[in-house]
Amino acid sequence: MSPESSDGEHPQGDADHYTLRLYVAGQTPRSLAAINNLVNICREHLDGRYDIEVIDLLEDPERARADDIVAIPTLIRALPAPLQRLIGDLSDTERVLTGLEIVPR
Amino acid sequence: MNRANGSAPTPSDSDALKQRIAELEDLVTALRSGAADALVVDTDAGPSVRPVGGSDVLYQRLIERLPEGLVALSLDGTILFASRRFAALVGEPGESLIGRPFVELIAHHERADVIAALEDDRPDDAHLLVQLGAEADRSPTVVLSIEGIELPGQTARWVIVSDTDHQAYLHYLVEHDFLTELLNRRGFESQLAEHLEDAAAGAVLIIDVDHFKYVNDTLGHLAGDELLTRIAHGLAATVRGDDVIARIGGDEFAILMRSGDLTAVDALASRLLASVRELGLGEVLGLGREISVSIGGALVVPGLDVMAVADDALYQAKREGRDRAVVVGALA
Repeated sequence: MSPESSDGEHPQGDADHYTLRLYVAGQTPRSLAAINNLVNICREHLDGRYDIEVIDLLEDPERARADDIVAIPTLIRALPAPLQRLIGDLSDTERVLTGLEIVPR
Repeated sequence: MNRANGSAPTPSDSDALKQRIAELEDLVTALRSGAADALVVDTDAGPSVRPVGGSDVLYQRLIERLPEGLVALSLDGTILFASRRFAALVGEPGESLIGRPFVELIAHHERADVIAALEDDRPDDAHLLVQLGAEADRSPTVVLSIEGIELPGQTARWVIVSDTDHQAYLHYLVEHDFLTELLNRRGFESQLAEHLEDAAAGAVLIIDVDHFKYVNDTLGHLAGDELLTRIAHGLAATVRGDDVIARIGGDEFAILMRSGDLTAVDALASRLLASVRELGLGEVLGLGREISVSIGGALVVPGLDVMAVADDALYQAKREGRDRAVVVGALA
């Protein structure tokens, strides 16, 4: 799946910029919900400061090794460091915001 | 998760270990709640995606049904997972056990033996008779069987904790619904019979989730289980202190009000309807429609089968459009 970029500019050195990878497995309800919820949360709370890559492990299971994915859907916050992960369909917006440290825990 | 290199964590790894424990805790929570669709498992051919909903969930449920407690430990003896049975044996909430050293839960004079067994490279034959907890006179004596396991990222330990008296737990299992932890039909009928022997008073409410089949068909059985669990908790939080609540069938709950007149029954039924609406489960589950329940209620009247009368009232509530209560009084 192709990545969604907020603006085409990728200021990777910017501590406010979020690089997110969402691991899904095809078109399952949880996977589709996770994609939808993540895009909505980013649009609402990250104001153009994000990149999302959606990785379908049915198409490319080897990609699971890179982030040691155990359960699907899993969201990885690759940047800003440290790496954070959330499992589930991301329907609990508050948990996503605190889990990704977009708002303080 | 960071794959470990096989060596034991050191004190300098403590932050990473805490993070690791939090991740495993998230994983267990996700599997329990059905938040995960699939698992990635290592095979000879590389990583493979396996849907959850079959063996993994069944395995998890099987663990929780065992009369033995089950605990997973990291190499330094920290608890990564504790089954409900183990939590009950040590008398503490399961969530509070995660991240704690296992030996803290063993009586002081037994700890050295347990530590030695956990540090054994090949612990598969370790079986110890030990006392749990610090209070020697009140804590149960259990058998610990320690096994090596492979978790993603590290070798760890399973500890199987066998209580010397399973009878109380087996009795609990017979009369309780595993999913919601409420009484089951058998437990409810037992309580109702006991109540009716003592007093011809009070009432029974039967509660049925509206369009439950639609939830199962649309979102699957895991979502259906999640819905039932949330409704069960909502109803249990709404009943009065001495009421008895049970899950008596797939999507059917029952409440025994030990006392109360028609006004009290109507009032409780209204609160129950509101409590389910307030859960907002349609939105939570992304269902596209709201979730409601229908309620049939009947006062206890000598000579009448209160369950049958409440059941008739429930079907009347369904016929009248659902999301409502019909309570039958003394003249029914």
